[in-house]
Amino acid sequence: MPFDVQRLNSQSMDKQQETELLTKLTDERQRKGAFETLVNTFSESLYWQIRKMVLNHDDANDVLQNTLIKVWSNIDQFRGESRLSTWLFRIAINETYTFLNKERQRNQTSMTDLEDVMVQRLQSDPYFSGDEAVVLLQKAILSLPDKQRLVFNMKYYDEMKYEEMSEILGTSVGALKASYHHAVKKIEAFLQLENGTD
Amino acid sequence: MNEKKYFPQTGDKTPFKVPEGYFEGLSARLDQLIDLGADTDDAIVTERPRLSMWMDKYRPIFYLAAMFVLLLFSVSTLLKLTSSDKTADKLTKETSTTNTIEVTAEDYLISQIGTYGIAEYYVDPEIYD
Repeated sequence: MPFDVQRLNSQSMDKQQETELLTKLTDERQRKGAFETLVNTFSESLYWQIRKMVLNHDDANDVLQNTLIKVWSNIDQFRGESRLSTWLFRIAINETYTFLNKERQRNQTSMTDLEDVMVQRLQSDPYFSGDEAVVLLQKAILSLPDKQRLVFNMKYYDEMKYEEMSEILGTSVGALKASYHHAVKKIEAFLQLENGTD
Repeated sequence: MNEKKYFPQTGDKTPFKVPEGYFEGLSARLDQLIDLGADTDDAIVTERPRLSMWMDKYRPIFYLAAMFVLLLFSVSTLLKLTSSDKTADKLTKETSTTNTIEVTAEDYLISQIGTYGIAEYYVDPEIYD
């Protein structure tokens, strides 16, 4: 089931619950149990956010595991200045960027664009059920810069509010609106070109 | 923005799926990874030779110290060479100055009275009184 903000809000915790969870996470004896709660509450939302960026299930699984291990190792550094969910999303996004950059460097030697490799992997992924039109849309989205792609995914697929996106990405609402607008225009142009229509 | 009219109508917008029971087993898999990670770290610490660990940790400081010693040696060698050149120059100058004085005094004496005059002086000093 894809990421859904409404579902995330209903599934995730209010501030009181987050504070309780954090207290348990910092307590050595309750840490493991609290981490299990955190994983059960947030992993699905994080997974879909990552998956839409890396496309392939195996890669998404790797990035999600890295994200959650980083959360486990760095939970003491969380100072509660933002919501726990926001902090988790930021770590997931950073891990995704790190993964994409590493893949880009790895593909530099083979002279193949990462985007082409990702589309090939997507098409051979048994956990992808899209038709040609969907593959084409994914190609169009892949033509965007990483951050613009992330903004597009959050708005188009997740229907996330700009204010929520602003909190997670640390970018102004105006800049996010402009970024989404440009992303849509680029995707439209890409699809029109590929379909040979005006 | 009404972007959806341009984009493919696919029913479910995201065509991605996950393996059956993926999220249910995630927590257990993470536990294993975390435990494995801790064990691996311990193994690395005990397996690696003590000297290598020590060397790895302080390697940059060693390089920096070696560079500093090399630089110090170069500068001191350069300074020694320069100072020995100066001493040699000084000695040469002093020697040459002494020689010049001796020559000048002799020259001066000869120029004043001439070689013939000296001989005359020793033969008959009264000529010059």
